[in-house]
Amino acid sequence: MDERDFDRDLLPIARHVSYLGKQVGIDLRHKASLRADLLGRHAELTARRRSRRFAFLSLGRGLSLTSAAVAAAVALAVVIPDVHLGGRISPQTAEAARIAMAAARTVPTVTSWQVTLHRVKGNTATATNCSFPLREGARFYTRGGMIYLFYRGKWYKFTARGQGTCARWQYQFLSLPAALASKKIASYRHTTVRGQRAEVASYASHVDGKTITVQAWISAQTGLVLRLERSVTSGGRVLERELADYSYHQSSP
Amino acid sequence: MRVLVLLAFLLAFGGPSLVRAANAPPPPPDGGNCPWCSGPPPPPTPVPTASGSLAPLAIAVEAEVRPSKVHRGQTLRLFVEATQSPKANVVAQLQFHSGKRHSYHKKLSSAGKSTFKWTIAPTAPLGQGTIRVKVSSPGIQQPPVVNFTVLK
Repeated sequence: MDERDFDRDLLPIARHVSYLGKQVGIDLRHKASLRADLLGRHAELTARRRSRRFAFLSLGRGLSLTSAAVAAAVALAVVIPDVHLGGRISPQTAEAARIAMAAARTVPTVTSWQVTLHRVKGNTATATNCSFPLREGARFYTRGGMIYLFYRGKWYKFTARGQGTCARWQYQFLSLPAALASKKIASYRHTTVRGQRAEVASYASHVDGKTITVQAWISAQTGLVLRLERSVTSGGRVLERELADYSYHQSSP
Repeated sequence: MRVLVLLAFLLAFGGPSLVRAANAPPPPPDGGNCPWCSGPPPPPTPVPTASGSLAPLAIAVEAEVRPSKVHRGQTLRLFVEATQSPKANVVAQLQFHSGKRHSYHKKLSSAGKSTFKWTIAPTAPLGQGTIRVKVSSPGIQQPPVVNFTVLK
């Protein structure tokens, strides 16, 4: 809990709530999901507070809305003591957390997946279709940025290292949702891919004078990657462009 | 103010059961037998690293067209590779920007490779055409479709 986040008159209450919070044990997995959920809620509150700031000052309703925000901050500080609540969590971070949480719920239901890759490099066009069926009874699971595989009653840590033409794309649906939190996302926007509501995240990196731009279309509902586009440009000229479409077979809806 | 603080308190201590319901793993497909639903054991329980043999095997079909921007009179080549399907039958369905679709049949080599070659007719329609590659082999679900463009 960061005491600077509270008004002086609220401090004794916040301390007491924090003390009570420490008396209650919370399951680590549950705590992680609760954290992601509260981060999302905090981002909503922050965005709403910003948009209402003007009305706020003119109508003199500052006190009541600030109280609501402080109350939410108390709750956040109790459950997530290591998160600072000064508006420093960006909506992008909250969105990444929400996507990672949705993916964590859906990934164990995937029994096979398919990547259709289209690549244009120079005067050559390539289309590759890669299918990845899991072994009977095997399931993937993601937690805290790690990938696990369940097979024949045992859990294994899994290193996402693809092979062949689809190597780069093979395990993106497992690793990307968690990785989004650490990437500098230029923007998030909403769109529709194959009838599904999707969030589009774009990010770029620079290697040897070339700019690599990636756009990821991620299902808002399931957190699964629907489409990835990777472009390599140099001096405004496109050197290489790859588009990967994903489809999944799931054991349950 | 007291109500709001109370609300915050309830959210912190009463919320977990509500959030648990929303974030719980999906219901097991077979009505109760779901050993993976609870996830891997939390640290510090050691979890071994999966060997490469546990990774799912890729079943891939690759179709490459060269040059992707072709002129009338030029030769268009299609390279097909499906290494998991040696000697399989392969059909390339070529369609120009307009007109009928033409099918060409071949067999993949023992290494799972094959090459098709066409000379673009002087009357071939300009614009984007497609080649659909179908390999007859189990596990291959969707045929890759590769595009080319007849420029002039």
